[in-house]
Order: sequence, then C-alpha cells, then structure tokens
Amino acid sequence: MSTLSLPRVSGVKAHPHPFDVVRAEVTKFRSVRSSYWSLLVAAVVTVGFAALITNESARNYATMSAADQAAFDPTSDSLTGLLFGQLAIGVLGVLAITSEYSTGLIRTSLSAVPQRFTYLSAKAAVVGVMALAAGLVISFTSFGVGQAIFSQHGLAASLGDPGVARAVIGGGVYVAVIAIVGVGLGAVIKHTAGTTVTLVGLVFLVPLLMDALPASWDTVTNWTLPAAGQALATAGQTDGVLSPGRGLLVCLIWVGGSLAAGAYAMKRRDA
Amino acid sequence: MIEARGLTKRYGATLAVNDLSFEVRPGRVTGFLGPNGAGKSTTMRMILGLDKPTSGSVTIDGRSYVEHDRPLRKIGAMLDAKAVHPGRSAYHHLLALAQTNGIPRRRVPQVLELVGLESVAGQRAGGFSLGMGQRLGIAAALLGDPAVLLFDEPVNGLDPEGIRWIRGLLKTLAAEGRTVFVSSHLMSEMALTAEHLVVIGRGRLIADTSVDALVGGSSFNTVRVQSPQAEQFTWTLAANGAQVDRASDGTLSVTGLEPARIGELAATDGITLHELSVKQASLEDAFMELTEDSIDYKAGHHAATMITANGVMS
Repeated sequence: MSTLSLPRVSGVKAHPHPFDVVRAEVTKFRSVRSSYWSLLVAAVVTVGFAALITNESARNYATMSAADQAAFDPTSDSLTGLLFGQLAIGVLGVLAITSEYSTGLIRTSLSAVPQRFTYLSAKAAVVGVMALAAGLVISFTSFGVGQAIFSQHGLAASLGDPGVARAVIGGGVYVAVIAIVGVGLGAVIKHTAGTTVTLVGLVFLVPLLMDALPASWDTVTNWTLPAAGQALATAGQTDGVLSPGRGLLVCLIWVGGSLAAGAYAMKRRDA
Repeated sequence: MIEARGLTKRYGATLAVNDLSFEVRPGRVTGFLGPNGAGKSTTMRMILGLDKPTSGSVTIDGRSYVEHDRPLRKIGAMLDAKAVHPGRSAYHHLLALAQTNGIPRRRVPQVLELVGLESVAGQRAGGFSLGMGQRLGIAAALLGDPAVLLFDEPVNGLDPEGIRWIRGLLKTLAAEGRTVFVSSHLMSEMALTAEHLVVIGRGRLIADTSVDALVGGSSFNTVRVQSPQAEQFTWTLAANGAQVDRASDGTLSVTGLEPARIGELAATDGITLHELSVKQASLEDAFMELTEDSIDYKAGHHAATMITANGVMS
C-alpha cells in the first residue's frame, strides 16, 4: 500500500498558518453553487429595484413639494435597492457557517483547525472580502443605472459631486458588513433559519420599531445597523443624524461585536 | 499512542463518560466496543478536542489534540459519513481540508484513488450513498498520512465488499506501525479486525484486554467431560470448587476448573475419562456477559411474552 506514504515536506511551520486556513475557506466558498446564486440574486434584486425606484422618483419629481425637491438625493435614491439585496448577501454569510453546523461538517473543520478563533476569523475574512467585491460592483452598477434614468430628466448626480463617490462605496461596504454580521450570528445561533430570522429582524424590523418610537430615542436608533447603513450610503446629510464617519464606526462595532460573540460561543461550547 | 486518564463527560444529570482510563498502542487495531449509547462517540470527540472533558484528560503521543501543530498530519479521524456539504464535490471537500494543514494538493487524488472514489471525485457529495460517504470520510482521515487514526463505526452502511475492504485497510494501517482505534457496537466485526479491545458500557470501562484473553477468560468457557463414572466424578469436581451441569446423557459441563486440573483429579480418583475437551465461548458470549448490566434498554421479559401471546413468535 505504497500510495499511503505522503512525501514529507521540509520546514513545516509551527502552527496551522492563518493564511492556509484562509486559502481553505476560499476553496469552500468557491466550490458551492449557493455562493454564486446568492451574489447573482443580490445583484439582480438591487439593480432591478434601483431602476424601478429611480424611474418612479424621476416621474414624480415635478409634482413634489419644494421641500421634498430640496431634500431629494439622486445618489441614495439609486442605492435604495441595496435594502433588498443586502438580505441575499447576508444569507450568504449565514449559510457559510450554519451549513457546517447542520451537516456536522463543523467537527471535521474544527479537527483540522482546532483554533476556533482562527477558523471563525478566516471564514469571516473570506466572506467579507467576497461580499465587499460583490457589494461594490452592485452599488456602482445601481448608481450607474439610476443616474442614467435621472439624466433623462436632468436630475442625475455625478461621481465627482461632493460625497457621491463616498456614498456609492459606502453602499458596498454596508453589504459586506451585513455578510460578516451574518457569519458572527451564525456562529452563535448555529441554525440557518434562526440566524436568518435574526438578521432580517436586525435590518428590517428594528427600523420599523424605531420609527414608532419618539425622537428622543434617536441616540439608540443611531446604533442600529440600518441607521449606520443609511449614513454610509447617503451623499448629502439630510435627515440622518449620523455622519458617514460615525456610520462606519457603528458598522465596525457590529462586525467586531458579532464576531466576538461568535468566537466566545464557539470557544465555550462543544463542537 | 492515545492515553485517556480519568476521562469524564457530564451532560446535565447524565454521565456520558465516567472516569475512563485506557491506552491505545501503535501497531495493532484496537477495537472500541460497547452497546449503542455507551459513550464511544463522546470519547472520540474528546480525543479530538471537539468536546471538553468535565474532568480528566486525553493525550495523543503525550500532547492534547489542540497542542499538535497541523493536527491532520498526526491524527486522522472519521466521525460521521454525512458530515459533508451536499453541494461540494468530494475533490473540493478534501482540497479545503488539505489546505488548512499545508498538505500538498497532489495528495487529494492519491487518497481518492486509495478509497476508490476517483471516478466520482468531481460529483457533489450530496448524491453519495452512505457507503461512498464512508469512503470519503476515510479518505479525509488518511489525507495527512497520520500516525494515529480514529474511526467511528466505519463499516456502517458498507456493502459486504466494502466491509472486507475496510477490514484489510485497518489491518494494513496497523501493520505499518500506526495507532488504529475503531469503534463498533458489533462484536462479530471486532472479532475479525481487532487484536485488542477497550470495552465500555454506560460510560465506564468494562475491559481493556486482548481479544484472545477476553474470550479465554469468559465464564462461558466450559470443559466437556464424559465418563462412565460421571456421577461419582461430579462430587469430586464440586468438592474442588467447580460448577457442574450434568446433561441427561451423562455428559458433564464443567466451569471454574482448568482442563489440566480436571485430568489430574480424575487420575487421583481413578476415574476413567472418555472425553475431556474445552468448549470456547465466542467473543459475542464474552461481550454479552461483560455488558449485561450496562445495556440501557434491554428487551424485557414482558415484551417477549406479549409477542408470543399474540402469536407473532410462533
């Protein structure tokens, strides 16, 4: 049974190299179709809604009140589709980890990489980078499609206008944030359905709840993900209280917090 | 070498593994035997650092699992054949595992060929039969060419040809000097593959012994004696501490005395013997005897009676 012998590799490094774990996570990401489906659905939904919404805004602009016309932001209007597209990419992050729990693959993964924090952060990094790349492409495409529609009505914003490029990039960043939060929550909750519902609650239900609360609650509202996302993806500073910089900070806190919770849960729990 | 010392795992009020100490040595197949629910899988997960022991410890070559650098190069394990992403191909499943531990990519087709899955390497694992899943799990265990191998119920779901294949594989791996630890609830299977046995029941160690010693030490080993003076000899044997059953044809079944001693007693008393032979218990008998108190759900006497009353048995 000579096939069993593995050629010895000289100079084997002391510990599982984090880079090796990242490479393995890239292989895992690329080798399942659901990754590509999630990205495709996110793109189609986001860009589709961008076209629908901007078309509607452009037709209604003439009949808007003067105040509404002054507050009109063609950039954030063209990025509204991200509200829906973020979910497909969030689920991508959720599935990246909950699929390992539901099949029992997590045990194989953690026997290969017993350092649970290394495992979780490598997965979050790969999901985050893929989601960021997809998010940027989707955000810029939505902006392009939206402004093409607005330009027929003389309403289009340009990437050179103040805050516009930052808002379009911010939209892509926000999508990546949602995906990473999905990974962190998945590590805590383990089940696909439970994690997805939690994520939907955070990005859809929380804003509805906050809208029902009096304005004095704004300090709380400002710490939610959707508020941070809106701050990131808006060119002008209209109704949002958060500055884009503060929005980014809130996003980073959510990323750090969810991953810390995931790492803590994985470290304490039996696999 | 695997060494468990006082290994204990408690889930709430249940002691899944209770103060378990044993050693698994290299160069032979060690069977890990016990009824379902005895704590075999929990023990295996603790060996792999997946579950934390409530108390006690287990080491592989002197170090706990997490202290091993690139553990797949030291310890290979197959726990669950269904533990694959259904949408990922066998090749990519193994490739991702290999990459985590810096194992060269060329090793993947080697292990796929070794387990006979090379023709389906590109197919999604979700469509695999249980037997193919077992083979994929074995391929994953062999990826790092490890010195220590753990298999949890590896013959489950394999066809007879597959079972024969894995028996040969386990023996070959052990003959190469590796430590091979195989769990099973099937003693007949272990009788054919294992040299040494660690037997547990309800989380406790029942026996840590060679297969031969287990069968040899069973109280089911009886000595058959035929003699024209059977009745007289029964008294002699009983006086020397043996338990004797006398069948209607006069054949004696003697337990508790070595055949040599029985022969000596016969000579001393001037008894003529027509037969003096050892009837060896099977591993199955020995196992049943050992675990009698440890089986969680034994078929009750009531159940058997009811079935007969309904005419199912007759």
